[in-house]
Parts: sequence; C-alpha cells; structure tokens
Amino acid sequence: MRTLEALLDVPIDPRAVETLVLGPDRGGLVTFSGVVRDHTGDHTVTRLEYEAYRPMALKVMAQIRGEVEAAYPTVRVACWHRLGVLPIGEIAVVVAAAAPHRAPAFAACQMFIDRLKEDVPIFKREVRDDGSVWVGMGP
Amino acid sequence: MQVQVLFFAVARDRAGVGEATIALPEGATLKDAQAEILRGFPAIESILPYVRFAVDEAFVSDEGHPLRDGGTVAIIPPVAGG
Repeated sequence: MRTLEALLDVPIDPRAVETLVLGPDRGGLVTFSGVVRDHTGDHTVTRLEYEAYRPMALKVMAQIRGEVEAAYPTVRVACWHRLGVLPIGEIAVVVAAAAPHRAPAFAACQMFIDRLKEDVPIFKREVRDDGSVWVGMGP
Repeated sequence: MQVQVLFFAVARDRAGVGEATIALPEGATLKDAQAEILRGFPAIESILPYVRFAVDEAFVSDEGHPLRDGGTVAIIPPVAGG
C-alpha cells in the first residue's frame, strides 16, 4: 500500500505511513497515532467499532491533505485510518507529517487530525460495559 | 429519476437498511429527497438534528441542491474518526 490516504481493515504500522512522507530533504517527522482508550468519562469502554462511507472518506481525506499542504507548503502528509472492531490499545489512526524543519510538521500533523475529526465520514460505535452508543449522538 | 440513498451508523440502525432506491420527479432537489426518505423511513426523523447530507460524495447544506438520475444521497451522522 503506497497511498497517502487509506482505510484499512488490518492493523496499521505507523512506520509504513512515515515512509510515505520521509525524504532526504525532510529533517522533521511528526507522527500522531490515535489509540483505543479504555474509558470515556466515567464509562468503561471495551472496544470500538469503526465504519466509513469509504469513497467519500477517501475523497475528504485527500481534500484535507490539499488544505494542509496549502497552509504548510513544505510539508508532506499522509493518513491511514483503521476500520472494523478495535480492542483497547489498538491504533485507530496514524497521521504522519514531514518537513525540512519541525515547526510546520507539528502544525500540519495537528491540522490534519483536527480536520479529520470534523469532516471525514467515519463513524464509531463505543461498546461499553453497560451497552453501546454511536459517538456524537449525545449522552 | 432514481436516486440511491445510503444510511450509515445510527441512521442505518434506525432505517433498518444500509441503502435504498427512491423515485423522484425530474428536477428534484435534496429537499425532495429528504421528504421522500422521511416518508419511507420515518424512524430516522428523531436523528435529523444530528445529521448532515452528502450528494454524490460531497457534503451539501443547500436543500435546493439539484439531484441527478443515478445519483447518490447519503445520510451522514456525526463523524467520529480518530
């Protein structure tokens, strides 16, 4: 897999995403990994179930990459997101950003993950010890 | 015209299906599709305040957005990537 945006049904190796953005002129590499956590507020979470509107999600991820590259022209950024049933501790998303220097790499990585959480049609069901909820639908 | 409707996540749970095809008159808009979807799947009404709509894989906020025969309308519940 060599695409800068991807939706995977198998575990993500962050190094594989980093490899897509590294280059001999890029001395700063920032990688964000979103990992499945065992709680939300006071609720105990046992697993997360992700699904996506796949073709649209990939389109929006590519649009976001365009926005990030416009804001930080020296940065190259890639993002892979996991789908399916994820146990605690599993990586759900990896964003890797590389630039000649660290500052734009940090900023670009944060901008990408923030935008992803706003607009990429990926959905998450939180399975708790007392039931399950679709995240974002209120308490 | 025929339009494909896609339901995801909580919308699919409420509708009981992941996709459906609806028939609309020529010149129909997103608003017309929304009305037809509600007629066929009244259980989604309670989640409408939470959802966005996409037409042909792009978010659309204008209810007057024209649809095309063979096009796709998707109900997008709150996104929760990451």
